[in-house]
Amino acid sequence: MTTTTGLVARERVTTTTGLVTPAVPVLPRTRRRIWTEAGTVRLLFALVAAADFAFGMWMSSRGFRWGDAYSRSVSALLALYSTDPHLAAIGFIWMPLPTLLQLPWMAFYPLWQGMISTGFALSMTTALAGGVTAVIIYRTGRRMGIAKGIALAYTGLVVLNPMLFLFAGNGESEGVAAPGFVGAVCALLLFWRTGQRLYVMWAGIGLAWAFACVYEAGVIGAVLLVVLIAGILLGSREVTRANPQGPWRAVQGLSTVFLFPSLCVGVTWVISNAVIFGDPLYFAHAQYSDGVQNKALAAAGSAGAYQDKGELLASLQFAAERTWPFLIPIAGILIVRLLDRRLLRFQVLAVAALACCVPFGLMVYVIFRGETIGYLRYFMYPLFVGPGWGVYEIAVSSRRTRTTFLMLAMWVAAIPATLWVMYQPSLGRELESATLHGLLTGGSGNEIANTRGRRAQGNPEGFINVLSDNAPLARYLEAGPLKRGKVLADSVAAWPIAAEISPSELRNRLILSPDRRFKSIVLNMWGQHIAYVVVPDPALVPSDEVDRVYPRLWADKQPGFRQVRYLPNTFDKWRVFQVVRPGTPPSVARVSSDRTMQAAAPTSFFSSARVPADLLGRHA
Amino acid sequence: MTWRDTRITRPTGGKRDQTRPDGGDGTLPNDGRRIGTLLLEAGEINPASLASALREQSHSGGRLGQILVAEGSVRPRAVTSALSRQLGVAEVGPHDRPIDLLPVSVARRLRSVALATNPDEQNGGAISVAVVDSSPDVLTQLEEQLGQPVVPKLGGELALEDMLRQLYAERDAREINEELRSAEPELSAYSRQLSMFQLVTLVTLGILVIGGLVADAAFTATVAVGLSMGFYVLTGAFRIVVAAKGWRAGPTVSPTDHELDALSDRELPTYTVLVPLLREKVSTLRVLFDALRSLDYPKHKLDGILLVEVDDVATLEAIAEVRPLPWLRTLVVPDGKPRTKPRAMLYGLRYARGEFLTVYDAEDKPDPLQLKKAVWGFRHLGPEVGCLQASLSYYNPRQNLLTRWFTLEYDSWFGIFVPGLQAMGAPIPLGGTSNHFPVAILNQIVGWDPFNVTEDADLGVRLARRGFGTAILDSTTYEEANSRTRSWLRQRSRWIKGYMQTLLVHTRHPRTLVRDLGVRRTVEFLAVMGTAAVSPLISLVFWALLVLWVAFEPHWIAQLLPGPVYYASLISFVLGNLTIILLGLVAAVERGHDDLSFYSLLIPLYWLLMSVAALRAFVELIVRPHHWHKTEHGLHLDLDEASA
Repeated sequence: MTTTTGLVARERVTTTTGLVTPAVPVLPRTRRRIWTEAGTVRLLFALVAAADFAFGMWMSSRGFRWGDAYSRSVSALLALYSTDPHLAAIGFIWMPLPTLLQLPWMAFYPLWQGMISTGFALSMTTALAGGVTAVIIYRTGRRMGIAKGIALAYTGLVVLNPMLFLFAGNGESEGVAAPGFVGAVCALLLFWRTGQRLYVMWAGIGLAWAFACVYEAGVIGAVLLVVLIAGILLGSREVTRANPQGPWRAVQGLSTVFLFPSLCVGVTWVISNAVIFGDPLYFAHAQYSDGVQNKALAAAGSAGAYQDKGELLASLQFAAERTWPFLIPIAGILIVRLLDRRLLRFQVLAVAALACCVPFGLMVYVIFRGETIGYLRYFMYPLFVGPGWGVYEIAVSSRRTRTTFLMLAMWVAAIPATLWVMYQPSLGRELESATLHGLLTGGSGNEIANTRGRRAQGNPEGFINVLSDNAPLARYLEAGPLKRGKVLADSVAAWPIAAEISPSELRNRLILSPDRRFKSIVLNMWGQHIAYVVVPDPALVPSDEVDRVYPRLWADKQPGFRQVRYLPNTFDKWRVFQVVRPGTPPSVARVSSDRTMQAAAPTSFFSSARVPADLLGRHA
Repeated sequence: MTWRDTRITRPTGGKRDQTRPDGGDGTLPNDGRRIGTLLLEAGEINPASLASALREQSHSGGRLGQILVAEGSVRPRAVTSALSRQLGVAEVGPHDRPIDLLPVSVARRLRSVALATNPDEQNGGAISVAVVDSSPDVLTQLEEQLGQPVVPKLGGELALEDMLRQLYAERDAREINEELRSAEPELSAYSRQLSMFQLVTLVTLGILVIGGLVADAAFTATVAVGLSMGFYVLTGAFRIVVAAKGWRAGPTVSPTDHELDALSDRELPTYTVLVPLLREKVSTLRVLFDALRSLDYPKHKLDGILLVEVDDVATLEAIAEVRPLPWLRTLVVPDGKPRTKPRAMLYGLRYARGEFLTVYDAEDKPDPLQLKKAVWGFRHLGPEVGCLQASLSYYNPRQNLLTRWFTLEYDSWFGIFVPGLQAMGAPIPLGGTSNHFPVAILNQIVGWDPFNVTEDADLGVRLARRGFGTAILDSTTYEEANSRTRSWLRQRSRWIKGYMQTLLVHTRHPRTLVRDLGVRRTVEFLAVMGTAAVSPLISLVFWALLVLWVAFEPHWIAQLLPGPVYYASLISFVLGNLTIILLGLVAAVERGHDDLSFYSLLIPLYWLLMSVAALRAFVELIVRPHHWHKTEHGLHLDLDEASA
């Protein structure tokens, strides 16, 4: 038996070929090697997470604030510190994981109110996810037998891809979902490579993680399932050997393993919607849902992808313009296979389907239906497929050096291409272009916003700094109304205020829509001792509940209310009204007939899905 | 081929010759020829059998007579007669009567029994002693023990055992009940009394609960629910950690075919196989003997003991009908209480001849290579390893939904959790069968506790407390999954009752427990036993609360679950349950049970059954703690016969 001096306790002792693990005795722990595999992994994680976090904090400090990400933070905040703290306040429109992951940070909010406004919580969340993504790629490479240096170089190039790097720092859902997607693909390929069935479970868990972040995971999951089945039926010798009951039984067993975690997420989500809102598909039907808002937006004929509605070729072109730089690593895979004469295999179809299913499948479909604005991030999904598959190609290639060089070169080539697309104001219109501009010129978000103009004026290149835009309203409320009584607002648009006011007022005075009494309070503000109500321009925020119940309120034509403040320079054109006497809302009958909203009333709801009215699009 | 018999040392020469009166040593004129020749001449064997036995002897060593008997080529009595002639030592006759002159330990060790003086014999004042081995060394020891000259009489192993039983059965029956109780009374489940610590804890808790209920019932109930949930969450997290470690670790002892081939049969030790039987059917025994026949181990080095209760006529008749394998012998367990499997095994341990010992149940089908793997494992692991536990699985998983669930449970327990516990160095509750021990260690820790109805789990903990480890053997024994709900409930309630017993026994003196195991392993022990014994009971309460809430939404349930408790419950309910289901699902698929994957999604219903069993176990623990629910075997065979 080989001696084991130096191995840590219970590490397996290798005999000539078999295995024996010491049952109880603990071998003396010798001094660790400095550059161990575990040490490398820890260092890689720390470096990548630190870089992502630093970039995220820089963006926040310079005013490049991603509205959806901040909205997630505020949802987590309201779950813990609103007038009615409860978990359901995280919202039931977007998939919940990115918000849930911010709850631990929010536990420290009373100690440091800058948790949201500085961008710490959201940046840290995606930065940690970015670190995990890097570790997954690296460890996949190592498990596939790739040398440490190459695995590190490859991982470095992937995490430095501008889109992946940006979204690992900005707090958006795609950044949180990244390790799930990348991990699912890597685990599936490790299963192909080794035949170890445990990897299928990890693929399933990865997919479930991604699915708990973004709905797009449903499409990728469906394709992954097909790929898994194809792999079992047509795959490697290792996979075939691991099927003791034959391939079809393996399909049954492994598909169940793969789908189970995602099914759990989906079923839990639907049951939560059903239990809390009385509608299992509340997230799809509700007043705040993407579908409803997109329809309203399409009816308004806004800019962005909506102009391509009904045009298949234009929709395809729209997707292609945004997707091509993300497909460069995939192209590298095809080139490698062509050179290795392995092009005519099902794996080629699999990688192509995985890479294209979201941008050229789901996205083209919703563009064609006019239901999305088509932000660049909706097309970045090939970047989640490429990392794992590239490693796999290096591992299986008969000419590993050439393949390694080619794959690294493709990831290098993807960097400037991605930067170019991001920099184009018409393509990187969310904040990508502005952020890059800020990086190059040193300008702040507000300066660039002022230069480019705001989207409210119909400028597609403009953007909104959500917190600073609403800061005047928060300052006004803090200075007056909140000192004098309770203030009511629908958080669909008013959520940024929550991040700007003190926790005590958030707990006691500012009543937002997550409060389970919100619906009844809206109908009877006087009776519920509401002193002030804040409403946005209903033309900009059609889903605001107060505006819906009191359609003439914003125009200052609603009896019982007196306008005390108008903030025309805010994006939502906020008006603050004092409740001066009881009154029956004119639209109460209509509201009562809305079964969905009635069902929601006794419990609670909160949608963080609010986005600027002319920018409504699909959400993560 | 060399016609080379094993030579038996003749009782002549050396010190013994000088101390014994000439011609009065009971020796007869010896034949001097080899035993094979003698047996051939007597017509007891044919040349082919002899040739086969000699081949086996040259391959694996051992005595020719034993090989011939183990292969079923000759009657044991014929071998004894031949040896008697060869050595010139008289044979034990039908009129020889054993007497209790030798201390039982010496009698067992030297496999010798003093015989009553026969008036027809002229021994010159010497005592006749029945021996299996008449070597000078044995005889000298006997003389020293008795203080008188000894006249040996050769007897077969079975004859000697029979005499030992005649003399010592009652004493054995008494001793096996008392051995652990007297050696380590605090570790025996015999006493139903709580220790002072347990009593004080219980009284304090009782006072707190009653006082709390009087002062503020709602708050007290909320605290109780919160604590229960905390326990539930922690044990759930522990299970996940164990599973994660189990996957990384895998089985401890996993020799390759090449390494097993390299094991020399000559170096293989005698292996005792204990098979406790109770009210077994002929069909069950047929399957059992077929399975044991397939064991890849030199048969003459197998010491198989069928343990049958003295009044279990049905099993004795069934054995006679099926005719056991030549290397299996039947040992009748004397009457006594409690009538438990560990008691029978303790009795069997007294007659074990092997260096190692394993236990199989009547319905077991062990991996043919299991014994060799265990020997390989013991040879490669240190002396501190007290047990090698093989995996258990079922050969009738597809019989019905219950057997499917049972199989899935075993898949995850032996596939991930047991290896995980081993990797952590935690005490491992052993499985009921296929655990392999060095006999010396088993004797050292006084074997099983006859009063514990899960003696296997208890033994695992006692091994750990005495500093012995348990390792996992990469070998599977297939058993029969209980296919009838009532029978399953009886079996499971016995198991859970045993876990409760084990938990109570080992927590009598917490300081001693911590001293024996250390803090970490004590916590691990509590988590393992707590999960097994207490969680199913708590689950029942929480499931009831959930059903009540969904059906009626009573206000008091909301009060019981304030914010943090509610969220912990929610996380435990959703994440915990789904994770455990996923782990079971993956364990099943990892073990190749692809077709059972779907059924793992329904396993919460199985957990519900477990909770019912736990409730029954709790009641039984109070009412009849030592009662052993016999698990009915051969149900799948009944089904096969019916369908045929």
